[in-house]
Amino acid sequence: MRYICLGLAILLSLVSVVGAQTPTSGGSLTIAINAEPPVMDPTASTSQEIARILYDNVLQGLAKINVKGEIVPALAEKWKVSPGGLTYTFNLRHNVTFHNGASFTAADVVFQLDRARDSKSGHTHAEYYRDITRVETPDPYTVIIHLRQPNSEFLLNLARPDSVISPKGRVAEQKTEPIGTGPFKFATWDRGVGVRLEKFGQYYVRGRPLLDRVTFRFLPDQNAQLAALRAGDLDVLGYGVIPENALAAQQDPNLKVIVGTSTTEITVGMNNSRPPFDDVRVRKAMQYAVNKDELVKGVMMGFGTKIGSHRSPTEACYVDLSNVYPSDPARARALLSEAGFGPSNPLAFTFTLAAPYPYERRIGEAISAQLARIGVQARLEVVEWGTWISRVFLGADYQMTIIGHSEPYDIDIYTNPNYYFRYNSPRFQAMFAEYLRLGDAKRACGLMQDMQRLLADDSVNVWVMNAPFIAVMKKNVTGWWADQPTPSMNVTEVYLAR
Amino acid sequence: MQGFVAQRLLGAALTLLLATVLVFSALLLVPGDPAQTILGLEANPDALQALRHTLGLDHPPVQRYLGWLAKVARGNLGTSIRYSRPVAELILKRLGLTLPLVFMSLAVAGLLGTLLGSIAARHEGVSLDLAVSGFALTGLVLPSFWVGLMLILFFSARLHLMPSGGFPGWENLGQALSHLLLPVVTLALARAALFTRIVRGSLLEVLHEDYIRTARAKGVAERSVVYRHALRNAAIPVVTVLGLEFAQLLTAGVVVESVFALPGLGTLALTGIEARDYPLVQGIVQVLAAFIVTLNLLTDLLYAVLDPRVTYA
Repeated sequence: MRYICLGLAILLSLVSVVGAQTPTSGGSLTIAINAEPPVMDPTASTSQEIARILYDNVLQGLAKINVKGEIVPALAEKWKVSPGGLTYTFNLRHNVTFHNGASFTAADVVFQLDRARDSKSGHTHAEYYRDITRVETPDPYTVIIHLRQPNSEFLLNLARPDSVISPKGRVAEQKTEPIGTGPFKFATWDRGVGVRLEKFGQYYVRGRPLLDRVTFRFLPDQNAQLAALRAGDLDVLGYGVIPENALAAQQDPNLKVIVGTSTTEITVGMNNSRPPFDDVRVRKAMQYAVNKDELVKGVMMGFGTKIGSHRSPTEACYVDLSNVYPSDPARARALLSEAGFGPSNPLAFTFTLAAPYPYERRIGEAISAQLARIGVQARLEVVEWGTWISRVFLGADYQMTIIGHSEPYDIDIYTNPNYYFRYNSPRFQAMFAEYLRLGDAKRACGLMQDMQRLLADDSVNVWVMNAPFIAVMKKNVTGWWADQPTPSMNVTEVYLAR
Repeated sequence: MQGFVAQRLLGAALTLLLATVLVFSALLLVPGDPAQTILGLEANPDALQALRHTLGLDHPPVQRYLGWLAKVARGNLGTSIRYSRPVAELILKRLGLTLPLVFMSLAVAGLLGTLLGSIAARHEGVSLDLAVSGFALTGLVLPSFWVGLMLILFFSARLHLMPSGGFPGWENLGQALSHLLLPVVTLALARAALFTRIVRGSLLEVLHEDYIRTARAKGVAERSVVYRHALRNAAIPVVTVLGLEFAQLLTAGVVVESVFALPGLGTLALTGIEARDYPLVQGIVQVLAAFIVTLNLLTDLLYAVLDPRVTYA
């Protein structure tokens, strides 16, 4: 009898464990999103909010980036790359239906790629596809892409939100009513209020999605978000929760907090083309003057990971350079003195902060205080977003600024001498060009790490930290992405545990 | 009277025209590019140029302004750059929420302020007056975003009595009102405090007038003295402030709209300014200016109703 009881107990516990892990279908989810995207098409705007709502949920490409940051098949079942890296053959999934009922075929892929590589089409990143010379479709489910030269990032580019595929011929309508092949179909966009997605019954993966409905509510106020979550009007604060709210949520038994990595490098941008930051000694002095540990611990309450170059730990081929410039005020002073600055001639400049970003603003204020310790006067100036874009980002009319670069895999911005930090390094440009052309993945990865080292050596910017990915949700919400290798609130596998 | 109204309407038309010139120039002067805010920071320059062309942003400013004005003259406020929707449609939808919100807030604030203000004036200097003045001071100094959050935390998160925010539309009246209750209280609180102080001050002044002393000497009951004789005269400054507050609340409710996730006119205006969406901002300014001009006219006319000595010959 004792053994029977023991056996039953084990069986019951096994059943309960299995039960807890079995995804359950049904229910709806309301998710807070910090900002409203300008359009609903990731090929028409680089706003990360578009991808956060639609990527993989509604719109899919041939490949996609998964939660581990790997490039995995989406609308292509598999692919083959020719030995020289010049030909990519994609075998498309059969029986894929767009949300408007049309069948997905190679013609849709060709239409999308033709539009994407046409610089006059209005596609936001035509340069991702500029190596394509020809696209062939031997049958409706095979696409062969020929490149003029090898491109290490070609697959990555095809997995980005910019490469999602919509029905052939549909362009303008996608901006407001996107149609894709994902597990959810777009239902409504109530301007200023939110976006609603509904389960797509003909999704090609059986049993997915698990939720019936997902609503994204535009709610910029972080405290109002947490209050609404506690009131039960929201189920998830999907990303970008401020550290103090994360700490408060950790004390709440009804909520759970997910802390992971993102693709956002919080970067103190220095104008490399203008005094005083055209002098590498001054830029290096800034590196030694900034105490990143203090910023992570003090300003971000322990959330965030310090970094030392323009790459996030979640991205492939990352190399940890966070200790290349340890906090060393004496060394910073010495470098400044070498550059002609000292107590009688203190280094003074304007530090421009963008109003809408609380993380960066707060870190900027703390950095200004750290710089003051070595006698540097960083005059803080807060400007609204439109002004920041126009003056700092486009006009490079600034000395120092701070901003989070959330775009994944974006080290290529350092090849553009007109980018706002005005870094013009033929060596870096040559390295990146070589990296793109390398067929050998291992060597390409090594070169990617060398590029990160070169940026750190040249001390282009002060890369402060990788912004934490913090999400808060009700206890029963299961399957939320643990990290953000690409900005996405992927709800494909999310369910409500019972 | 008709001459006065006609003169005011002509003045209003000129004011509206001037407002469009000022807003258009202001949007030109501040840095920023609508195409860039739509396409995002990393957009490729060809795409930017193509969008600027589509939006007509590559035309000279004067041509753009005149084109817009010609459309307005035909009753068309244009299309929003940010939302690709007709400006009139966007504004009307937001007014459907903002107008009732502002009316309800001002009604609550007006009633509460008049009641408390007259109580305080009647009991000048005693503890009741001090308590009311204390409330008024507190209501004025508490920031509305904080009051809103506290109300959400107490009534929504703790007691689960009210929704924490959002607006479901007017299809279900009960639901709509329950979503507006906390925002109305938040907006009304600060205004009620202001009205309390104005009513108290104005009433105290009137209560020291000769005709009030006469009324009292004739043996009129104190309640009647205050509410029938004094309050009507004390109401003129309140009506003036009410008009000003109405115009201000149409867009200044943006903080409360943000806390309660309400898609109101304030948020729309802010989005428009951030996106440098000049047709949208111009449209909103037109509507606001029209409201303000009408309200000022109504306020002036109301003076004549409240005070028979005021006439507009």
